[in-house]
Amino acid sequence: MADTAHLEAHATGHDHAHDAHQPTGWRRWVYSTNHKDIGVMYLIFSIVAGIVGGLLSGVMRLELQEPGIQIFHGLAAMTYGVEGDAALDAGKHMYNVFTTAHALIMVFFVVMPATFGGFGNYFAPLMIGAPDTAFPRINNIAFWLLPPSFILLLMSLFFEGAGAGALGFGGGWTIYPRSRPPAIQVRRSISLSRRCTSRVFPRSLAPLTSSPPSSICALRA
Amino acid sequence: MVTGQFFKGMGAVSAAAMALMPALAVAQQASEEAGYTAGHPLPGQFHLQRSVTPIMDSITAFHDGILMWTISLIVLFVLALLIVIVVRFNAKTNPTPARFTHNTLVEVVWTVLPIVVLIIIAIPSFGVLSDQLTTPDGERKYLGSNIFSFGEVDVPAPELTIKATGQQWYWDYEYVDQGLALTSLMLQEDGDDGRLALKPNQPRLLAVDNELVVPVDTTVRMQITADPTGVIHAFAVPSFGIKIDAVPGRLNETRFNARETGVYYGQCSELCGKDHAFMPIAVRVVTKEEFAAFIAAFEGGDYAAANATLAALQ
Repeated sequence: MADTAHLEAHATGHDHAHDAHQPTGWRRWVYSTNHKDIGVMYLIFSIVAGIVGGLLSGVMRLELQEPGIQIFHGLAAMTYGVEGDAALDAGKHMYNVFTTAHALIMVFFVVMPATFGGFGNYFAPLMIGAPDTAFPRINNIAFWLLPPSFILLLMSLFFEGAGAGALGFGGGWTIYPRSRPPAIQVRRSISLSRRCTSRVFPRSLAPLTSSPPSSICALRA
Repeated sequence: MVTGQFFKGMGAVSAAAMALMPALAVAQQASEEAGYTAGHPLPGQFHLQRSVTPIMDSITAFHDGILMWTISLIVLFVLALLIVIVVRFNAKTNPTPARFTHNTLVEVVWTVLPIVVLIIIAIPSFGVLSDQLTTPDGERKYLGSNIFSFGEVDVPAPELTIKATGQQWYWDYEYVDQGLALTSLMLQEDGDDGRLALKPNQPRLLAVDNELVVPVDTTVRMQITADPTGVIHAFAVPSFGIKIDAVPGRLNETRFNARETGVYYGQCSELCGKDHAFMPIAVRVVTKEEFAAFIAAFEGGDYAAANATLAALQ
């Protein structure tokens, strides 16, 4: 009888798929409080980010496969419309921007989401025998903060960084402004790439919202 | 003293470990015989650059004698565990898995053993660290290559002070006591400028127009800073085992005592902007007599004349 089947399913805890409150379609993913769904989303996100980071790495490897500079001054000439020595300088800066973005993407948007976000969410509750994570809604919003922060990082590549005509921040993944021609201020690209990591390390947002850290003050002086 | 014997024993162990790595030394020698000198990376090299200071002796011994062996043994141990699990505990050979969840002995072992490994690594590590951070006074003994000893290498007190300033993007040097300064720019491969053209036998992206000249067997105090309006750089010479940040508005200090003459190259080691890769460091270590002649000729501030004097002597 159908009643018995329902009771059996209820006793083993596997009847939730038929419950009315189980969202379907896009709501299943966007509103998800299911550790497996969130884990899968993390994995898909990290694959997408990995393709972007891999492309950056590919261009860097093209540049490095022979001694000398062969790719980036041309890339800079196409992007900025500069020529000669200006293209060379812009290309060198662009290489540093690529290195910086590649490092940030690979660490914070590929490896960490894939291992802790993806595999951690999927397997840890299963391995310890828990029904889900302790705070499933926080788990959901934690994932959905990641795509906007990734977009901020990608945007930072296209904002003015080090001097006129040079876009992006090229100071390495630690993002403290040590790479800077004289007499310019901390630019939007640093600010954006900082905000993207502040999604990962919220405490680093504090210096932006209150007083800037002393290193930035020194640069503004 | 028992502990002393223990440390001597460990020193012997690390020495024996290094003796087992002759292949690396042979490869490096072969490259050197092919026309290269020490002091810069060689084609095909995968070991540390050859050491010419007590500090780099310690670093090399630390890397070859402890770290590589520890890492290799741990990797093999974990690999063995994985193989045992794959072979003996797969679903086919072990259809009914064990049901226990705790084993106190195993937990104690996997807590205590890593602690022991870390302590064994920490003892020479702190010794080498304090060697790097202590200015020699002529009496303190330094570890040298026997990093498990209590110090057996004499290092004289500094006799020469040099200030290196990281600029965008090159290095300025100053013989502080003599009041002499020079600017060091990288040589260009395809430079039209005769003075900045790379000569044959000079290493690409490492050779500079004005080398920093220092005497052999002398402790040189290096003061490292960066241009006050500039960015952070880092001063590093692998063969000397020194690497220290050059920070605007800060004076960092390190020192080296080179025992062999020759040219030793390093590079800026803190990503500092577009020409980070093109601001090499070149230190020419000469005999004390040559250095005295060099400084005497440099007295007027004419580096080119001083360098010509040096070239005539060598």
